[in-house]
Amino acid sequence: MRSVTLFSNKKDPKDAARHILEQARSRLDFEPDLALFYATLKYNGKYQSMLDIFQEEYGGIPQIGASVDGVIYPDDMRMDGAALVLCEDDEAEIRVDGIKEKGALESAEKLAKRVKCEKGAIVLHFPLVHVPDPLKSAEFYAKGYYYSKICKGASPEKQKEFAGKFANYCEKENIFYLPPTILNIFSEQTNHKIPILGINVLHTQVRFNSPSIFCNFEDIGGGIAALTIEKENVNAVYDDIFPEKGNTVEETRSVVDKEFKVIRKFKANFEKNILISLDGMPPMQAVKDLIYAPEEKTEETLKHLEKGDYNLTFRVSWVTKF
Amino acid sequence: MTKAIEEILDELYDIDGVEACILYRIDGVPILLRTTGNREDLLETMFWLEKQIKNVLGGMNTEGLKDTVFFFRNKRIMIAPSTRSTVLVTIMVEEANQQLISLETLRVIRIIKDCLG
Repeated sequence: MRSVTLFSNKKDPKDAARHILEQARSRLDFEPDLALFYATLKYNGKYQSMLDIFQEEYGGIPQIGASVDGVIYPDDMRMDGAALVLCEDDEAEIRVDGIKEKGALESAEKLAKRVKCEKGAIVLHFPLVHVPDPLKSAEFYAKGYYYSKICKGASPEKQKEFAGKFANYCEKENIFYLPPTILNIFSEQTNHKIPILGINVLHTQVRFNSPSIFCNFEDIGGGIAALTIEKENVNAVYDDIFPEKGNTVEETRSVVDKEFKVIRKFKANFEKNILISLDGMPPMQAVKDLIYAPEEKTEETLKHLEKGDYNLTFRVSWVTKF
Repeated sequence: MTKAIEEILDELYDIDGVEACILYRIDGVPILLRTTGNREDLLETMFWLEKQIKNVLGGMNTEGLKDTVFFFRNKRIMIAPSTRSTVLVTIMVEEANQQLISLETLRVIRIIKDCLG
């Protein structure tokens, strides 16, 4: 596969799109078969105007992309702007499908039925958490607050019931997409024969109506898009900075104990994707004063903190029977 | 070389929240400036900078700091030495994403170093 990457960070979205097209005209020496478009939050809410400009030039080819926090490409990293990658592969059959309907799982199931791939790979783009518009966001916070309030002092059964209702609401409003569930839906639909890759989009800054997924030159907001590459001998390689999960809960526990410094263990109470309590306490209260610094490094840590050049990382591991 | 530095300053200036970016000589004399229009408030900031740059750089050198951020009126000002003889100043609005802009500033400094260093 041949490709060329074009980038612009002009203030105006239309100027940026035109700037990218100018570069493409001078640098492109092949007929592209696929366009990948990624843009930072700088253009939030204005992505469609950029996609329209690209469509005029490359409307005939499939396109996929998303809003991101930054882009890394050979010898450079940019945290502000938009990148268009044009690719060519004569041997591959490339398609992009997308969906934006009520319900994260329902959308994934419908799209999975539409996507057909015999050989090759499927690359999914979907948000990990989608922040809706101001009205829906206010509703989300109000509902969360309400369920959290009525859970206090309620019986465990009632707590589970309320958490379940809130989880269903989040699912119906496409607020949370659970990567293992989404990937599994596509994997089952293709009989586990081809690799399914998921790009879970999440911004470090919270903005309304973000992140956005792009599918065939359309901004489908918090929908799901699937890039299907039908080609012989496509291989997906998996690696992780974290250790492999064990086959049983006990095995996973021992892996976590071995690889990380466990500060404290809690007994968690979940319903779907909602965490109800940790050791019977509200989750925020349970972890509020949890601070740890390895004894031998305390002095060194304080020295860095004084200079203001220390990054603190917290990690919470959930060992589940999933 | 000048064109490359001008282009890179253009890119820095195009970032959301950046009001101006100025490449100074270490004695406080501006070499290159990117901003829009004739802005009085910016002139005031520039006068302040001209007076302060030498002292700030001296302080940074003593403390071993790579860059420093000041709040002046309602602006955030990032001062970062780019080469042995130049310093890059980025003026941001209060609500700008400082983390993002500092990463982009590092990139600009790397390119200025390649050109002048």
